Amino acid sequence: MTIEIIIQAIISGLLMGFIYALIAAGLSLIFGLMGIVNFAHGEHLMLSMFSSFWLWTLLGLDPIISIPITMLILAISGILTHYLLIRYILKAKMIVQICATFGLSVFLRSLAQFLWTPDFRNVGNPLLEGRLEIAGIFIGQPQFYASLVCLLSFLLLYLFVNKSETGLALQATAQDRKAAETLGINSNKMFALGWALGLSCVSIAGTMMSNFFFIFPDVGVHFALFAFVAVALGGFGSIIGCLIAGIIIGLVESLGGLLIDPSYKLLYVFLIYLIVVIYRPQGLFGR
Amino acid sequence: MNKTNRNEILAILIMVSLFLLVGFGQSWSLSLSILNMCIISAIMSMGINIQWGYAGIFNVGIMGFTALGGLAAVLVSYSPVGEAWRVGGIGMIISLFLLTLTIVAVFFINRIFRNHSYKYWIIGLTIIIGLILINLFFRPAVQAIENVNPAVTGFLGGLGLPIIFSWIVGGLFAAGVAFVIGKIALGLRSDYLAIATLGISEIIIAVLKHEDWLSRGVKNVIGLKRPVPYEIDLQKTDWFISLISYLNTSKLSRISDSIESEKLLNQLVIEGSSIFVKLSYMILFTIVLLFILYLSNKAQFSPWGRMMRAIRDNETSANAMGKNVVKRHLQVFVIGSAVVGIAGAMMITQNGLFTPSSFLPLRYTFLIWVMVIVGGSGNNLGSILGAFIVWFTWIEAAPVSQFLIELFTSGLEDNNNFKLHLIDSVPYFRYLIMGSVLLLILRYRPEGILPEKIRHS
Repeated sequence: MTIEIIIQAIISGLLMGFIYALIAAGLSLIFGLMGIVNFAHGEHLMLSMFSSFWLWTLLGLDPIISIPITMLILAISGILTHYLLIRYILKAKMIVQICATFGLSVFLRSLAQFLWTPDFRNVGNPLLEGRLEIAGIFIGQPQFYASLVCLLSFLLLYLFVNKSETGLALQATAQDRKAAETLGINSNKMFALGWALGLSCVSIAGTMMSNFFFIFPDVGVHFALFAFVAVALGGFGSIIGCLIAGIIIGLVESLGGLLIDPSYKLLYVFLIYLIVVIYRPQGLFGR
Repeated sequence: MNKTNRNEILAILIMVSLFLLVGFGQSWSLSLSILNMCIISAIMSMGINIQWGYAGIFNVGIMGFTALGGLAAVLVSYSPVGEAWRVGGIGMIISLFLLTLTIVAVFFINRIFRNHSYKYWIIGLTIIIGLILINLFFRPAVQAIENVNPAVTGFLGGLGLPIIFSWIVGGLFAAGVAFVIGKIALGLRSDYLAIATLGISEIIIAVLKHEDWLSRGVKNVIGLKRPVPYEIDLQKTDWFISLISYLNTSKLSRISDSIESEKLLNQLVIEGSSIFVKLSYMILFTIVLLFILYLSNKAQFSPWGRMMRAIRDNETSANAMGKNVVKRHLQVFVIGSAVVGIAGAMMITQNGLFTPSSFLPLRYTFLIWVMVIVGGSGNNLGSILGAFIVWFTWIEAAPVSQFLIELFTSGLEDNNNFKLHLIDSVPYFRYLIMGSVLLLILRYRPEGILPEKIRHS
């Protein structure tokens, strides 16, 4: 094992880390806003990968071009999720909320299996292919651009939430729903916006990943687990925590796979989750 | 007789009549095998009912605990592979010893350096040193074990005990894992436990798939010993043949030709042996079911059960009354998981083979949840009824939906793409049907078919 292989693993871990961070950011946004853990997050990722796949197959749109369209599709499905399901369980017990989103995840997954069969698919010759070589280190071009786009969207999301007026209204609703309502913020609209934003984040990650990842109905399971871990690690509801946590998870996954055994990537990430839960239940950046 | 009792009797009658219907309509062998799986699912859903119905703990790792039970069945019943033990046994024992040593060391360091800021660094260092030492012995041992006749064994084997013991061991395995997980994640927000159980079940499956020395991984373990006789042996046993001919005396005496009647008897014996085996499984499973039902009913209506309900319904006030919420939650989580583990071991016992790749979260975790919610959480008989109904629907959903699809698309041509796609997706109809059952029940009868009895005493 040379130093180059380790650097290689660190870089690919970092690249995946940015993608995890964006997925987790969507989850964290929804959680921070209304205190609901979206257990169907992986399935939303799967939906976005499938929509970019179908846009490519049916209309010939390359994933990188179809980003706005998948964003729109997922945002609409997020708004629908809010108005058809989440609106009714906002005040219910936490266990009911878990049941509802878990049920949604099963529904979406079995719907995907039903509609598109559990076959593995992939986007054949996309625009982004091949690899870059920098000083003897190889970087897959799709991975590189995927993480670049994810990082960019992450920064945009951060700026939107912290600087724009709507973003501040979003934060106000997250902090105190009643107080925000007295100030003339329509909290229901804000929740819908939160779902739309959260799922748009997922859609960007999913679309960029469809360049280099197989697409099948169960694809979301592991990513969703990583996203849960990232949110718990970064602190529930903290967006900047997600970035750090995503990077940590990416690094642990790739270094653990390289140094110990690649078949237990999930185990290393999960161990980190357990350690965080034991020693710092509020997460790294938790309030 | 009051209304709830009538409902219960009605429920039992419905269950019995369903099986009689399949028995007379399709075949007794099929009916019994559905029944056996129903009983196993009923035990699993009772385990989940103990967690969810008694205490409101959300466990989404049922699959993992079931698989642990299955692992117990393999480890207890398979005869030890002597060759593998000779080449790798010592290495394995040393690494197990080192693992225990590391854990004990971490435990004591945690005690001794309680108030030091560098505690975590020492713990981390100990774990890393421990892992390196373990790897020194573990890797070569695994290599050696997996090279022993990989086509047939390639693993350590088990203890070679009767497989019945594995039901207890499976419960212990599941309880152990549940204890560790519960110790860490209980007492925090309830999503923490949900994520933890989700993760641990995926990890258990991953370990079973990849650790060939333990469970042969994806190569599967076949030919587990049975607690009941084999069909092939039964067909050669004198008393069984005479039993069958005694039961069918009238049928046999109607045939005068001795060769013909010999042929018929032969066929009856083959059919009878399969039914006999399933019947003996059924008796074993029913004993376990009734035993666990008795215990959980006893627990539910004891002061302990009352305390659990108090904690479930209002944690804060129960805490104020001096009940240790976290400790009780841990207790109930461990007990419920152990019951799931027992059911897992029973399932593998009945199947006779252990296939880690067949464990899917939708099949185990989701379906068992549907059973609990349909049957009525908080009511043990309800979760048994839910298990029977849901498993029955699950088995019969595929033929029924195939029939329905063919009925509705009969106007279309045979090579119509839409029709072909629908027929191809018949297996996925099951999940949609299950999802709709769940939604309908939640919408119109959220407390389940047999709701929890509220006792005022």
